[in-house]
Amino acid sequence: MITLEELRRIAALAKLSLSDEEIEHFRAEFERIVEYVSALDRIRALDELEPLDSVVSHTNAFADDVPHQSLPTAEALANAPRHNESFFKVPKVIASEWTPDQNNGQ
Amino acid sequence: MQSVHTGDYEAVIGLEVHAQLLTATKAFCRCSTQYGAAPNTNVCPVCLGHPGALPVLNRQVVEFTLRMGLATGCTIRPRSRFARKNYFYPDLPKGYQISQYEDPICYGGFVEIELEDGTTKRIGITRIHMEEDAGKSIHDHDVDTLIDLNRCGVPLIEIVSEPDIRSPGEAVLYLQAIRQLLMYLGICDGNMEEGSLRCDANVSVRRRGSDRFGTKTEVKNLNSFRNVERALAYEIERQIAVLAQGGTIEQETRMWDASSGSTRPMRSKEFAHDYRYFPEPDLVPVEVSAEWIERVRAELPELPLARKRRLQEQYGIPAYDAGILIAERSLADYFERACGALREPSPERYKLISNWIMTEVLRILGERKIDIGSFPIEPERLAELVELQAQRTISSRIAKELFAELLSSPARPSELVAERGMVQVSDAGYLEQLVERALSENPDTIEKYRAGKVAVLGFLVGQVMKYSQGKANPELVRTLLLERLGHSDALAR
Amino acid sequence: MVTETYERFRQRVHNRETTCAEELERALMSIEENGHLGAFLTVTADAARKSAEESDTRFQRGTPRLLEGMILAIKDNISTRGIPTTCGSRMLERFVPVFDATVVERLRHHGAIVIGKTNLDEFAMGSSNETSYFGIVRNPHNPDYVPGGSSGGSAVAVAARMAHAALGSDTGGSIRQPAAFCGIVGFKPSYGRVSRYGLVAFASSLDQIGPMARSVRDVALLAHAISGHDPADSTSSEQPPIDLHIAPLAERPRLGIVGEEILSGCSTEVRSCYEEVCRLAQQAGYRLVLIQFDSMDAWIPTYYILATAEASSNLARYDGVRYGFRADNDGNDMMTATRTAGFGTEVKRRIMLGTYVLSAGYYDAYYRKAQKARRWIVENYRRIFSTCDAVLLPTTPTPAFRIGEKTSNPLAMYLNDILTVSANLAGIPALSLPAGRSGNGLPIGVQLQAPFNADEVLLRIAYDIEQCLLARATV
Repeated sequence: MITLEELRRIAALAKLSLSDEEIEHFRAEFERIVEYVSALDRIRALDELEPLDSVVSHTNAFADDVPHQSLPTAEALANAPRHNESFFKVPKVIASEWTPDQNNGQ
Repeated sequence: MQSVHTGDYEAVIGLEVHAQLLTATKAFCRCSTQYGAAPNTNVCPVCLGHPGALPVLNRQVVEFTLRMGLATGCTIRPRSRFARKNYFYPDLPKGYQISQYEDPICYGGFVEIELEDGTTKRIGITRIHMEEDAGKSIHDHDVDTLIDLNRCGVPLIEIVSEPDIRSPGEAVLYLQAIRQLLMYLGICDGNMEEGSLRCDANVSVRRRGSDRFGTKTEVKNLNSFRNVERALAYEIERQIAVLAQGGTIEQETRMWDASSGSTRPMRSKEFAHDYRYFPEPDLVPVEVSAEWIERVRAELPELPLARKRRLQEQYGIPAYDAGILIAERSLADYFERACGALREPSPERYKLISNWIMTEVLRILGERKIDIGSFPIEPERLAELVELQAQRTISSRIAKELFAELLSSPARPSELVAERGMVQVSDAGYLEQLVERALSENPDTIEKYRAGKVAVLGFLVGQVMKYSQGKANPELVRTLLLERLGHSDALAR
Repeated sequence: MVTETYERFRQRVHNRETTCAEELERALMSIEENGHLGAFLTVTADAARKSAEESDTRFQRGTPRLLEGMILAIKDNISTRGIPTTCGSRMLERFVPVFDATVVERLRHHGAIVIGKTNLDEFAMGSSNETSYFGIVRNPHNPDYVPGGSSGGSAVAVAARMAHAALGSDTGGSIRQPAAFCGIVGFKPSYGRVSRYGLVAFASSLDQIGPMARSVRDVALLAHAISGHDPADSTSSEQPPIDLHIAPLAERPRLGIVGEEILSGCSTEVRSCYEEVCRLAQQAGYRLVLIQFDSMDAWIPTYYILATAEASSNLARYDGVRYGFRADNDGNDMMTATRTAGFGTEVKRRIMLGTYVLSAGYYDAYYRKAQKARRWIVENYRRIFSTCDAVLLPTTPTPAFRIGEKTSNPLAMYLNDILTVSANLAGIPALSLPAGRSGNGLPIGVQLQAPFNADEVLLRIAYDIEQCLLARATV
């Protein structure tokens, strides 16, 4: 049983704003989907298997530490909804919106 | 050092240090990492998080991380991989940071710190992992927040210590040791002001003798040694005060505010941590072979503490001197090159070199804000200066003058000495004339000396030095003066 | 309409029966006539005309390149420098990429003519092409029916002969299912054989770009041109480019065929079409081996957990800061407003589901379990491929369904992918081949799957079976 509270938390994590109606709608679908995917719980064969991240078997795909041409600033900014000649612009982020792991060197 | 009165309580501290690696390019794209470039010039589709762009790991990031791992005695995981740490922030373009989570490349090491009482203490290293930096948000230049993504994707290592630190002082020593190691290894410039080295702390307090940990807080924004010490002292005292009043510590993240000298909680509700880590599907695992590890190990430089001990032993210099000299690898290199350039090496001369470095050289470096690499007097020339001084060819006063001249002249010290006639005068006949002049110009001194005021001797030596423009050999002058005073004494008798 | 296959077109150019410029005008005409199908989001007529001129020059000089003059449509989730790449989303309505995907670079290098960008389900999330912000795509065989998805625009462009071939992307069947619904050949190569650099990510560990065309040989030619190692994609395979001509085929290849556990879920028409292909293969000398998919129950749950989890992270970059849509919002949270208005319902549903399965407390129950199931599926395939060289199964349980028929029931829509997702989970190559028609004239496809990196074997067998089917048609 997924609570509305839980779905609101998930929506906030995903930065989506859902109306109560949408949340309610999602919940009904979610329950069916979650019920369906929990079919995996009934598969005993999975218990002793290791998780698989990827089907590729190679490792160590590296690049050499040699600089390449970066984008011209104008091109880097061209697609931005708001920018000036050197920066992307967003509505002021208030200091309290600092996320814990920014580690911004000031 | 700031002392904290912890009374019945004991602090338990662990540090998380983020160090920017000195690679030429970013961790996952080939944009330059150059600091201070014009905003949004070191960016490309990968670090801008453009749709469809993919990361490719910079080999040097692994190489550098291995250096730190091996220097701290960590175990290197033969196969490690990256994970995505998901959170939103305007200067985090992909909406996730590529980091390592479940299996960091290095784990289980330690760093040794030397406490003030001369004993050493081991601080455990839980893990060292690779990750990428975020960009920068500038909040106060415009009505909007400005975003510069040059720093975005610059490689970092995060070094997580065990909760083995027991005081703010120890935390500073640990951070200094880490910084020194990073700089010795040539993998980080250690510049805390520019944010190349950043530090967060996990702090709790507990009753002395207890083996359980108290509830910890995470203190952020500790961006200088002084702030580490002040913030930890504040936070420890705060926690003790809360507990002493019967309160409980809330597990939370607190920001250090240097201007108010206090920590304050970040509104915890907004930061419900749920980073939804999962394996990064765009990168393949990093596999480190035994050969790779051995090669990196073989190429490691001598580490600071080992070098300190060797400098003391090999050159007979005091622990204090050795400690200062090894603060930076290049400074110790300078010292050793100077020692190696001596034609007649001796412990006395080693100590003279050390003295010059600790006083004049460091003073000039500080004044000019340069590092030893761009110091104008090469170690070979400093060695020659020391030899002239040790052979008494020049007085220490002349040596200082010479040092000042060498700063702006490429000449060899012996050339300058010859050219400027700086050679110390040890010609007894000439000096005797000067001694006579000093005595005749200060006739009362003889009286005073005879009356037991021995201090006038120094005055007379000084006078002779002045007449000679500093070139007189002060010891010879002294001998001559003593003889003359004794002589006149005998005459009077 | 363009010539039926690129191979045939090339012969005609050689015989001086036509030119690239003429062929291009036929393609553009066809696009115009078929506007109601909604296949294209952008048509790059001017640039294409220039390319066609160059191609004609090269043909005249006798120096044509591998794909000289091939008229090619590209799914609009593949990055094209200077040409809008929208992913069928309001979020990227005005987004103009600054770089070409590796596959696009390679195709241009080989002389292909890019005619435009094709419609798709928003961010490739869908099986019917009904979720694009820019409108639905219709099946050329009957415009009341869906073309399949998410590469529906590409499938329609090829099926209605607006282009010789197209690129699609396949995360859970998004090339093969629309190919089946539209009656063309669609090929998802082994994971890693084709660079993903420039493919807008949906689920990175499953996504794969692949060709769609009207013959196996055209598909194989395109696959050859776009495959091969790419240092810009860390997951790119070190294998050489896919080459149809080097398939090491056994004298009497063993073809795995499926039984009731799969066929009982298929419509009678799909079933009889499938059984007919089995018979033809046997007549052609293939040994049929009945195989068993033990892991079948895990396919869809595993797929939806892994794909939505990765998608929730891959779509986090659409935040209104650096590119794309931004909601006008004077309140605090511009990002939330942007994402809420910029994404459609299906995308939001999957982001929600993916965020949920990764969130604290659920990771082990869903994501980790799905990773285990993924290993199980891979091992299941390994066992199966120890008894046969390739597997033959239907591409979809039914032919194309009516527009609107499944939009209100996401789970039913998801189950439409039942026969295609396992190839993505196992990373193996898979191809859909047109094999017949339903009573109301809608195409039916059959699917071939081969072991990981046995793309050449797969194409070779597909070519064989295609020839059998053509021979049957002419009898």
